[in-house]
Amino acid sequence: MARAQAGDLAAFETIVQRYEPRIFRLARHMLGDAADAEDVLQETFIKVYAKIGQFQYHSRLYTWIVRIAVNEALMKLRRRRGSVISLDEDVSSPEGGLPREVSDWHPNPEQQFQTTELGDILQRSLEALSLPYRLVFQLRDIEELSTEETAEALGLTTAAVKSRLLRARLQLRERLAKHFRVKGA
Amino acid sequence: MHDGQANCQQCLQRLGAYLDGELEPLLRLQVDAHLAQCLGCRRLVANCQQTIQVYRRQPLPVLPAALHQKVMAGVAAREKLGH
Repeated sequence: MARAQAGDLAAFETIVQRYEPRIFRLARHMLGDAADAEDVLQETFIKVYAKIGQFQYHSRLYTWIVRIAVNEALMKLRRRRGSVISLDEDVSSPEGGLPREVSDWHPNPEQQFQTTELGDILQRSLEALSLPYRLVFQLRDIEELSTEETAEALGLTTAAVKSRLLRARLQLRERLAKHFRVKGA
Repeated sequence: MHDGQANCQQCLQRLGAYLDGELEPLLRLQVDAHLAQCLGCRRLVANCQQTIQVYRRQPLPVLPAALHQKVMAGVAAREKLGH
């Protein structure tokens, strides 16, 4: 890390190799498009390289890179939509009530579906969530950042992260139920 | 949803902390006691745990070498311009 901060490109490349699959996955889930995700991946690491001397070790390097990647992806979305993208949008709906129908699920969806089919189900279900929920779920439950790291990366309070995470989990559960439930259960 | 609606509602309110293992012991015991007698909430907890796990088990994408080279070419070009 010290060598990368001193401008050693080979040392920096090891950082890129370590994190690029995760950053690409994050960007693809945010943007829903592999080509745009590739652009965001490149822009992210160009920015990381330019700013790595400023990294202060107050947070994990990965959390710091995620914050840069999220901002790059949000800028891409803004350019695409021609409007400001807010992480506060679509989160004013009332607290969800108890689900009306809860069925048993197959214990192992990997055995229930082909790999590609399962990947498509998971990707489509995640992309159907509004961006503020999707991002929190992705950082907390897929990338396994802590609540505090997620809050830091997204500029949210920890209370907002917890609230959005529960809603995201419940909405995803609802969407996945029609695929994973044991019929007749 | 089932018997003891208030308990089901409390279970839902505590679900996030329960799933993350962040519920204080007494509240966790109360949720566990409710889950022991409420099939719907037990399924809800199990569904949520499965939701998290199935996403976590998904493999990371394997990026083509050309993409990594493109990223590093962008970084090297930036270096030539100076930080």
